Amino acid sequence: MHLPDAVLSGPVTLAAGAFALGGLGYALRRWNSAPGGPPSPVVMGMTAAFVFAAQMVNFPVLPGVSGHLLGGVLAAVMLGPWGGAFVLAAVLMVQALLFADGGVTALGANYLNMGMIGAGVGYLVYASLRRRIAGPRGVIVGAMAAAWVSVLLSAGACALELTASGNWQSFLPVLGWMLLVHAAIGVGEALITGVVLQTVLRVRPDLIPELDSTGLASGNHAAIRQTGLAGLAVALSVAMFLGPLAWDWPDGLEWVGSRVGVIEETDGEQALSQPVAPMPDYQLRLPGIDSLKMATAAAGAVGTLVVFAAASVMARSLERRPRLVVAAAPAVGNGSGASTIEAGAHAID
Amino acid sequence: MPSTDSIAPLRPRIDARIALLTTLVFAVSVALIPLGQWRALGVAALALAAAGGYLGVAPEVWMRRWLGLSLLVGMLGLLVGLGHPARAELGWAGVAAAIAAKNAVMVGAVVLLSTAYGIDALLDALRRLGLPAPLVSTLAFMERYLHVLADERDRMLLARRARSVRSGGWRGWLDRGRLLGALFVRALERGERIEAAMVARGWDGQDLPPPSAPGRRRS
Repeated sequence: MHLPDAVLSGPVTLAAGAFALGGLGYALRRWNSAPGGPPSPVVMGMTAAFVFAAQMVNFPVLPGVSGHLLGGVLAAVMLGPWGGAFVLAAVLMVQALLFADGGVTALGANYLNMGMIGAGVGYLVYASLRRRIAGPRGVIVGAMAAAWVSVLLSAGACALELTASGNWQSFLPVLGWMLLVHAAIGVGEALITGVVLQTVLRVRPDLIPELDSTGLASGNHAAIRQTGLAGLAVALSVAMFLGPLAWDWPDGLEWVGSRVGVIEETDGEQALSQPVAPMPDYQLRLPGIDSLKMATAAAGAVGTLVVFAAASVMARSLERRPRLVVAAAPAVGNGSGASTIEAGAHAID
Repeated sequence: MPSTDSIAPLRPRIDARIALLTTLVFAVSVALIPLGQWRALGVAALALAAAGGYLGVAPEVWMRRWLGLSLLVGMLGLLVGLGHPARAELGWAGVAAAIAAKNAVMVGAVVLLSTAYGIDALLDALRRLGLPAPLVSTLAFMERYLHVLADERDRMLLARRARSVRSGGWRGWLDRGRLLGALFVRALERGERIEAAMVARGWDGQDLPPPSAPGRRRS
């Protein structure tokens, strides 16, 4: 998911950079709007260091392919959308500047894909579900669904940036391949996010903040608006999977045009579009393009089912098993934190 | 884990702010060179080599970092090359090769900057260039505990192996996830303790004080 330098064209690099700067500025402005004040920089830095360390633990997703946690939704669940986006900005900056992992000129595009979409849009999906599903179940189901949707949308944005750097005619095949690979990565992201949050909920449920304390606007109108935006994000990810399948069907205007005789069909292309097409003789034909479309749609359906099945199993197991440690820890002063860590660590190890 | 620790920063005489801005301008300029303009790219590569020579950074450092990236860059180059306008002139593989060459020069510039200056000087430069304080503080704390958490992660993985946990497949997946969960809880609790200690020493809980003298020890 980390785009390296030089893969994106100059104009796309600049446009994504400008967009990301705007997004970061907005997140900064909302920074102070959390009712309990902004998250402490110590907690932010620790979360960023964790995301960085966790990104280096590989999980096999397909034979020969391994993925790792991206962490946008996880950071946002712990710190709110603005804090989460900030954490991802910090992680990406350190990776680009110190480890050449993700290009320094692709920072804008990477922040857009993983910070703004990963943490920001992901949090909208999480918040909308958590409002409707009570207790720890809401946290697990909301975060896992958000992780799945946000990885798909990030992959879509990535495909958009890559084809804008080349030629739009390759958009569908690139989107198809990106989604096919990222369907597996998205399921992985959802599962890892779910397992990590399950552990946090068992050991220190108090670390996961309520929605109203994260700086997200509260109140009925805001909730409706956020749910609408989350619905739009989900609809967009469904459309990305199903869009390529429907692409070859004539759209309404074409169909009507061919019926009334305004548009003549010539070899499957609109006669009207021929003179203005930038590369009229160039047609992208790749072997197996139709099976790619089917495979992509199938991956979307299977991935969604797997994520929701796993989320409900994890949520149920969390409700069945009592919390392991809190009763044993003395509940006085700062000491309680330390004993909880030890007990928690042993319980999990 | 790729480490920056093995190479002590060179602390050159040029101000880190100027070096940082020059690197960014250089990288964006290379990004704007059209594919196939080999002469312009050659001039950029020569300028980079001269800077590397002046700062005394060995090419192996850059080579190691870039080789790790080259496969991904090549694959993405082929993806972008699918319908790229320059494909008619350079060919599909030619577009990917041109992208990889540009990437090599840009990665070279970043490796040069990070090797010559090190994180502390770069963070200080970012702060003095006006990067928002919350972001600089987050970066500073992140840098301070990055290696602590990476060590802790490796210790936990080692402990897991030492206890003969050899579960593969689904169980292995779950184990690794839980290990990350435990690491996350430990990280957050460590953060709470550090914050309490800092507040006790008089910290106002907001921005981090600027890094101290160049010799500050990395934890």
